[in-house]
Amino acid sequence: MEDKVKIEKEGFAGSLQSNDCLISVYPSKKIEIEIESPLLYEFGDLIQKTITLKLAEMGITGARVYIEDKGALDCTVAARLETAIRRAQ
Amino acid sequence: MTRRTLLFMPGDNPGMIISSSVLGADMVCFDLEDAVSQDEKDSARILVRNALKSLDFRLTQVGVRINPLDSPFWEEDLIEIIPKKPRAIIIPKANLESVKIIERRVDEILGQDPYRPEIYLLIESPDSLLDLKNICQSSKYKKGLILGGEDYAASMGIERTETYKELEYARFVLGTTAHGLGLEAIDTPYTNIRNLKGLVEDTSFSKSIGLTGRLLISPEHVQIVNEIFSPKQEEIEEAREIIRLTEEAQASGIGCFSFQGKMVDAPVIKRARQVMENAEKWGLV
Repeated sequence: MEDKVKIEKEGFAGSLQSNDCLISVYPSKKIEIEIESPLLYEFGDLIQKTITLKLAEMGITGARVYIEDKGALDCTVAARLETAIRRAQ
Repeated sequence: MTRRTLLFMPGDNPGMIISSSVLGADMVCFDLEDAVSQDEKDSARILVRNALKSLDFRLTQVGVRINPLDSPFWEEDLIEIIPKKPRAIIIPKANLESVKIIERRVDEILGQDPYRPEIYLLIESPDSLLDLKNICQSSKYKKGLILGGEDYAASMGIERTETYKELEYARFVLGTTAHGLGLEAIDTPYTNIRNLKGLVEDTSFSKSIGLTGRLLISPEHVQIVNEIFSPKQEEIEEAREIIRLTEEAQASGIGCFSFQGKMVDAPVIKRARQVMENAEKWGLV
């Protein structure tokens, strides 16, 4: 399936401030998600789900996503991911 | 209902966005303009958009300051933010052209949707101050005027001081025009964050000349400024009594009456109702 949005290069968004996250996206043939979070046990699944849903919503089937989480809410994760993806086009 | 405090928060700071609803301001304004660097404009608008969509701000209303018309960012700001229905939009560097173009774009984005944001016009230059009535009359959705003291002083080529004396003329004009047109009159922020005594003095002066609220850049200022612009207990009691006497007079078919030796006419009654509405809204009764 053709991606609605194509990841052409690296894209970064966010910060390492409290309640934020720093997201890096890279081109890839498949979806790869790597999460670094002090609350990985409690919220790792939710972060994974937020990222997966956002990628699907944007029609992306290939991307490597790396997130350094500092306690971001899911709306923040989704926002930073969307920004990183737009910057990666 | 007037707003006593509009607290500016950087639109690119999730921690501040999340905590904004507990700070007690009547409105928090997420800033996409001066508080956000050029490289992060896209990031901030998406973050604010998501916050408007997902977060519960409880009793705190939410406004957004978009970028000015002379920037490449204002239209994208509106496209992302307006569909999420913030309570208000602040137009920086407001003038005749920017107000017309921005409100027209808002109408295009919303189409048949009956919702429209309230518009605050940020007055930041002497030419806008001189053209204030025309600017206001060109706005369909105007709610209030805000004085942007720093940019105004820079345009005038005058030094900003601790006394704020250099802004006096602008404050009087803004306050008078706002009241003449039934708008809120919001004063410029008090920028010496640590000087709370100065904040009290200056904000008390604002109130004394008819300004109705203040833009803030520090959460520490919220409670102080709320209190200054809130009606005092004596004012509330007086308003309550005027309304009671008005209802009695109307029931008796009496056209006018006096209270404490003064004639009570329509403007007095209107002001009393406004005091009670605000007092109820702000939990003072």
